[in-house]
Amino acid sequence: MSVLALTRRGMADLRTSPAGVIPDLIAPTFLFLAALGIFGRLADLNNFSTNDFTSFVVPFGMVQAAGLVGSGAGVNFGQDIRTGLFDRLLLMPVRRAALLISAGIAATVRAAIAVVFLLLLGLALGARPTGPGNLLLSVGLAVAFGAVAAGWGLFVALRTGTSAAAPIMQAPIILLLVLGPAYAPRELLAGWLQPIAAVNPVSRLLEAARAPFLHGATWSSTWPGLVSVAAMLLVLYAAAAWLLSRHNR
Amino acid sequence: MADLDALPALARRSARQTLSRPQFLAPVLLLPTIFLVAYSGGAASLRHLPGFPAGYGMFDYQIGGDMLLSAVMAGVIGGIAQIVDIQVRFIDRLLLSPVPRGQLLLGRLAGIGLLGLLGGVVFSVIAFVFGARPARVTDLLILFLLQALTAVAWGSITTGVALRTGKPSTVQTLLPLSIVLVMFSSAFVPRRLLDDPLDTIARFNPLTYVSDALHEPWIGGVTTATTVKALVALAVLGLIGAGLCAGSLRHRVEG
Repeated sequence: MSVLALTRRGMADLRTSPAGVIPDLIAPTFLFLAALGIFGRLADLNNFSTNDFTSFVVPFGMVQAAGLVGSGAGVNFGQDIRTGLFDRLLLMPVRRAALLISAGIAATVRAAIAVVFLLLLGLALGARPTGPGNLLLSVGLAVAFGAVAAGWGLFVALRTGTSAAAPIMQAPIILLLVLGPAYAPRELLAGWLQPIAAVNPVSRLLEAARAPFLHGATWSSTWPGLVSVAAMLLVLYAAAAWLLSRHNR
Repeated sequence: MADLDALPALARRSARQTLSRPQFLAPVLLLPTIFLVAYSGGAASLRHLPGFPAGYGMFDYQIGGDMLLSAVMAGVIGGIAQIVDIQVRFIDRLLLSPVPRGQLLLGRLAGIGLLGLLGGVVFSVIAFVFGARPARVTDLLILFLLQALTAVAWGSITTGVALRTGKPSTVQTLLPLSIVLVMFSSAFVPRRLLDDPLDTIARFNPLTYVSDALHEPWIGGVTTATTVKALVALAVLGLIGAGLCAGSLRHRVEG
């Protein structure tokens, strides 16, 4: 119950002013449109996995939107810590974990809104998924990455205690996204980037989210993404929970 | 004589104000670095397409685009720093002092130019470290000049907006808008590889001509024609900015 109440508090601004979601959408939308426009000709390459660059890049746009919006959870959390509101929340008869989970859920819901917006934009621009079930898988993985980014943002907020650490919350998320098959398949990345992309967990997630837009999802294209996202969620929320357990003690 | 003394002091203060704050340096240095890594590695295969400068890699092309982004970000940061001065009423105190108003603006713009130059130097060092070389040493000097002038020209517009509105939120929105304008130019991909409508937007975007000139030292060498086009584009931006600043300052004084 406390998780639900705290989540509702985390989304209060959206309920009172739905237009508040617009700032969340601006950066991901422009970054997606720019990628689509400036790298569209990559699909002309013979060894590119598809000749439909829009379908190729839409999943990246969705995952990128989720990452940018999700990491914003740390900004609000850091502000609550800095203003002392967080300490007052800690005095309430709720479990500490509820504070973390509710902030993560609120950020994930915001990320989901951005993901759906980017999906609709991509569909309007001509992206074609292979089926409705596949589409849900792609959206689900993107939203899950929003939860991962929120976990990172919350970890940084608890570590620094300020919303001024926003660049530290967002920059590594963006770096993880672009140090992988963001604009081209792994085999077409620069030589130095290929080994990095191979160990980057976001590469697996992105490839799993992209398969439904290219040749259809299969178990072999999906499970690495699911494992990656589960591992990132586990590590980041465990680290954030550990910091939370030490807060003010 | 006292008037002449004020300019270096104001320029020094403007430079110190921006250089001493990591949150001001991040958009100038960190953001273009992320773009450099992302695009030179992630879109490296673009070099195989006809229309890409023959014999060069994506990193060689990206370095000029990232210098443009860095210079434009220096301009935006100048506007944000101006907002800080407005908020703490430092600008009001300066306006009451006997320092000519033109020098207040020139001091601010000189600081922005230094920040732009810093970006140019840092990205040139990065370029050297990763193997890119300018065709001639003089090309590097032209590059630094263009880098500083780009920051000043863009900074004059953002400073004008800051003086006119006095609102942090308005100036903050110039940051994503500026990134978009850089992306919708030839900064990251040659125009020959842009499809419409992006190519048409790039053709009318003055930053395209600045971008072409910033690419040249790393791609083939500086040519007079491209450099002149860049200077004309910067002059147009600078004139718009100067008009905006003068009008905004008058508005603030009469306000």
